[in-house]
Amino acid sequence: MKLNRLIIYLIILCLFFEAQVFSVNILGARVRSSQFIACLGILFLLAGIFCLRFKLKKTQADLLLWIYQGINFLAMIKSSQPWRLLSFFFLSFGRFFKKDSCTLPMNNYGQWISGSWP
Amino acid sequence: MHAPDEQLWSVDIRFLAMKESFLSFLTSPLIGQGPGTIGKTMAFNPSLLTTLLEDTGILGFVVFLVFLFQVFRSGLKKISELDEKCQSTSFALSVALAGLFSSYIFTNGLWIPFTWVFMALAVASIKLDR
Repeated sequence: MKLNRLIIYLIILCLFFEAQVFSVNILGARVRSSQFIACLGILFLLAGIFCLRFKLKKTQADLLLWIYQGINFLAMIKSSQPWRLLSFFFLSFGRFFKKDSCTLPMNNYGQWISGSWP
Repeated sequence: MHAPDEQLWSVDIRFLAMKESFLSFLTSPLIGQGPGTIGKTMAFNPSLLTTLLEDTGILGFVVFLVFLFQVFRSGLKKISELDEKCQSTSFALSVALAGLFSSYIFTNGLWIPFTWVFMALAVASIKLDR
């Protein structure tokens, strides 16, 4: 029961911090506090399921969620975005070892300008 | 196009983005264009409905809405089996989840982590068997 309460408090904290103002810098990446708390929430859920030995029954909601994820996956494979992301990753990795230039084509918001690779 | 002296309200931009998203959905209506496709043309997709349609097509849209309906229906059924103290807490959580998804019709937050933690809690509560 204590774990349930803890998760509910985490959700409230999550909602509170979802203003997305608070963030920390972890290894150069900007991590929002809401993301951190959401990860904690998921960890507590997993700990609850595997350590406290809840009995979970299969429901129709599980099947529907798996079907939804399957459609998401199919749509993702069909679109060009994952392949562009992969090419961006490998190109960035290659450029990291070049001495002459490490400038990435980013806009003022730090987002990669797609299709603008020199 | 808007005339220079005409004020453009945020709601106009939302409807414009929703229209763009819907037109994008029409080009691939069955399984959609893939997650996050709106980023190619607009900064964000304001509506949950157009996001689902554009990202996963009519198949994903129907499956997700049936899933939500199933979660609410099973959740409300489960509430009647609980004791009085848990009943009020579960009812409050269900109403909060319904309110959250209602607000997503015009401000989509499906990408926000807490939405999925909330959903996980709702699904776990209907799956508990003791």
